[in-house]
Amino acid sequence: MRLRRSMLYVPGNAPAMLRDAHIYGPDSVMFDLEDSVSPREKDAARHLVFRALKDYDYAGVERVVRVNGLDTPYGLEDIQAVVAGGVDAVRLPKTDCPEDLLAVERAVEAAERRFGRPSGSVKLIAAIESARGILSAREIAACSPRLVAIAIGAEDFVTDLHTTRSPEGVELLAARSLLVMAARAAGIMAIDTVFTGVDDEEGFLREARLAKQLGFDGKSVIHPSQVALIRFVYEPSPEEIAKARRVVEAAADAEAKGSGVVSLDGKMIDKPIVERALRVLALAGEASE
Amino acid sequence: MTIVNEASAGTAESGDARVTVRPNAGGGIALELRGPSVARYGDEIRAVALSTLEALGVADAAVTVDEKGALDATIRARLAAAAGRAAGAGDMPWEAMS
Repeated sequence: MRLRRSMLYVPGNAPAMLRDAHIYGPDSVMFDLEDSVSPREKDAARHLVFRALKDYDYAGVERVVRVNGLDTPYGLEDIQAVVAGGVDAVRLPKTDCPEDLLAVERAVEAAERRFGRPSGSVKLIAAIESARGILSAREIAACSPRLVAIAIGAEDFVTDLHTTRSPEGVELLAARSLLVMAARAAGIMAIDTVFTGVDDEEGFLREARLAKQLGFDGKSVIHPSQVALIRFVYEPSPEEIAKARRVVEAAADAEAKGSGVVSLDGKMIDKPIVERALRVLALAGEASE
Repeated sequence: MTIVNEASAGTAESGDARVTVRPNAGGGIALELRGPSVARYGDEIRAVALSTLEALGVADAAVTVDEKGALDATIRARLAAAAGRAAGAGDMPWEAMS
């Protein structure tokens, strides 16, 4: 199972940062061609990201590129460049409805043909950043077999909602929960929004723990220091790992004996408990689901 | 790709390169390199620049590369961006730029 606990933003027009992004140990690097790049530098950033994808070895770290929307003059050429460069996943910002994503899917499909990449090899991630998008999350999450995750972008979302972000995040609670449920219903991942206070470690940990508790698989991060904090939040404790191992072993024993009932220490173990244990082991880097 | 006006790309920051491309009709490629790495890696930088221009199909251009310790990939990217701007080109031949 590929983990996406941390997805590290890297501005597309910063050559030195593009080269070193993976050394901090994120699960994914996300090269940005959208909001961090000014309109007059869009072409230059596209060339830098293309070369980074082509020439640098990111040691197995997933390479995601946030492209500009197809409603801009840049989106289509962004998709050509990153598919030609060998990108693992294209992240679409400001996804309001399934049609937004399906248009990207068609452009990616055409680019795969043009550049001789296997059909379906480029994955998609949709960022949802509006009330309309959140209310369409279920349809968006289920609309493309290429879609591996949906993400929430909070800054645009709270603006759309006529509010602001608070430390507690109460204004995001319903949207986060809807997004996670939409992801689970479609069998894909849910990625939480960025936390912009780079120096506020305590605030970051509070928000990351809340996101994990709500069911998010990971979080977009804007600074390398946040990668280690996310790892800390998602890392199971030794006790959790030990218990998960025993649960999985008990389930394997029961299956080997042909028994439909799993028990451990005199208690019946339900299927959801086995699933949670497998997920704990995956987060500990021990097993694949 | 035909160079029809002067254009630049890149910055003077460390790890980057500032590349300028000008028309040089019928004059082939005129390449000028500046920067701290040129004394030691000038031949490599020259080869990187020439192969990039060839991939883009640029036959005539006056090119200045002012590098500040840029890696090959950065020089290629900055040169391609400057050439694209100088040619007023929309679609890039991505498949040729391997």
